[in-house]
Amino acid sequence: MMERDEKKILAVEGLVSGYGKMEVLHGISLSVRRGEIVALIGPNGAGKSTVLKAVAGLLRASSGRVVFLDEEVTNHPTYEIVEKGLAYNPQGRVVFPDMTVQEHLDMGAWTLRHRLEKEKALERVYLLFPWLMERRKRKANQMSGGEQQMLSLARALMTHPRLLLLDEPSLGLSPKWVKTVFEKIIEIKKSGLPCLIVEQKAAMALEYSDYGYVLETGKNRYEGKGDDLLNNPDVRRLYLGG
Amino acid sequence: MLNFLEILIRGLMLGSVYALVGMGLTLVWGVVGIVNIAHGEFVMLGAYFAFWAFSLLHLNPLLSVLLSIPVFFSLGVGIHKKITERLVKEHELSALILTFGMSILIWNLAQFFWTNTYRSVSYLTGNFPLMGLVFAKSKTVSFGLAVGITAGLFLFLKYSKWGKAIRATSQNPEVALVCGINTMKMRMFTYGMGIALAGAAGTIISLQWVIFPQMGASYISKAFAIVVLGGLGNIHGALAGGLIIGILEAMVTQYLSAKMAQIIPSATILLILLLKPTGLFKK
Repeated sequence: MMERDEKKILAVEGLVSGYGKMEVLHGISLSVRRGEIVALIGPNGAGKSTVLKAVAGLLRASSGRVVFLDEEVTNHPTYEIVEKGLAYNPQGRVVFPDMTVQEHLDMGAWTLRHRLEKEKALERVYLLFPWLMERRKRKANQMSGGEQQMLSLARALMTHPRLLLLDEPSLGLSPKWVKTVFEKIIEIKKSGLPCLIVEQKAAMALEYSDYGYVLETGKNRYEGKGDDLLNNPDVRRLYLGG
Repeated sequence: MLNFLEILIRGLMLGSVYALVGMGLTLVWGVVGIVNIAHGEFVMLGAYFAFWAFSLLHLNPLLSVLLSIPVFFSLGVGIHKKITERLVKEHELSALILTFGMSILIWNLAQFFWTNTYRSVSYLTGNFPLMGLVFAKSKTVSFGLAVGITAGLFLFLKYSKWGKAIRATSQNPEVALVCGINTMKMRMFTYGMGIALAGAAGTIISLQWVIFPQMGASYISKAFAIVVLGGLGNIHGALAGGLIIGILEAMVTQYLSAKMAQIIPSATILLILLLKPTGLFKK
């Protein structure tokens, strides 16, 4: 653990959280370092998405700490954490159905104060997703599931983020789109943005990741470098389907 | 035929004011998630606002309409901050019961302080003819004001930064949150807008109809019919719904009776819920 303490963008320590009185996380610890893709895997109900929600301040942590960019943000309001540099792409239908692409990007840029900043962010996002440019006026509910996922990702990237949280980016997408999504994640990583991914397609996520954590019923189970976890016989048998 | 056209236009004018009340209700419902049973009472307060300003301060009622917007907006923001925000995460029934109580409290207070005497603002009287048709001045001016406020509301929601954020909060509150939008602030602002629309509608209504403490009841039932017609939280639907209710009322009053016109709101709600519960318009 010691060597992972340096250059930490995000550190989660002993996080306890859940929905109302139902405790889902019973003390989770993990960290994301500069320039890393970190995968969070584990069976259904392990609490992977819950970790992301608690980090983003969408769920209350009853115990434990979330430290983002060397500052404790445990239970801070979401808009404060986002303004600090957290980009979060939630799971599932994550667009504003009746709003255009341009309006999504406007909303993504909500925390940017200056026009110039916003223009730069737009340029960056259009460079990553060139096809969004010609669909600026199209509404989200006129787009396919894969396009919506990309739009959601683009929206999340509008905030000059320092860390990207991705919740099941491949959920419900065709294999072609899944590949595109992961290619984009690699591009995003190359641009220097660290990324914490929750993914059902565990083997694929680990392949693309520098580091991984395996959760089970709200607790840490295994952790290690992406390749090491992929080659770990226990992890393979239990979580990667043999 | 001329008569029919005149009644149609009269219905449109009526409906434009109903639409203001309905849009306020649907906006708060869609964004804040609260069904404001007391919405009609703010219409009543708006009407009294214009009445007192006119009779005590001799304030031009048209000025009252403009003034009512910031006044009722602030009132709404205050009420939401102190009372209704705490209901957002509670069961829907809590909001229903609380705003129901608020409604009873407000009209009883109005009755206590201002008595049951029917009041009216006699400011714009008389008619003016237009291409062979005759229109009451007060109704024509009311229509102009309602159209102006509606246009302002639509432009605000479509183009302004806050307007977009309000739509975003309504369509997907969680994603709005992770955009860094303070959705609590948006709810407060929207609640203020809803109350401002009710208050402004009340001041406009004072130009044409009698004012009394229980008048809110008839407007909340119309507003519910409008919201059901237009689809919950659908602001364009509420505009259309308001115009439909207004035209229906004018037609039924003319060709059947004024008494029959009173059943329009409840009949509309019943029919729409039976036949097309999501409302007539796509969101």
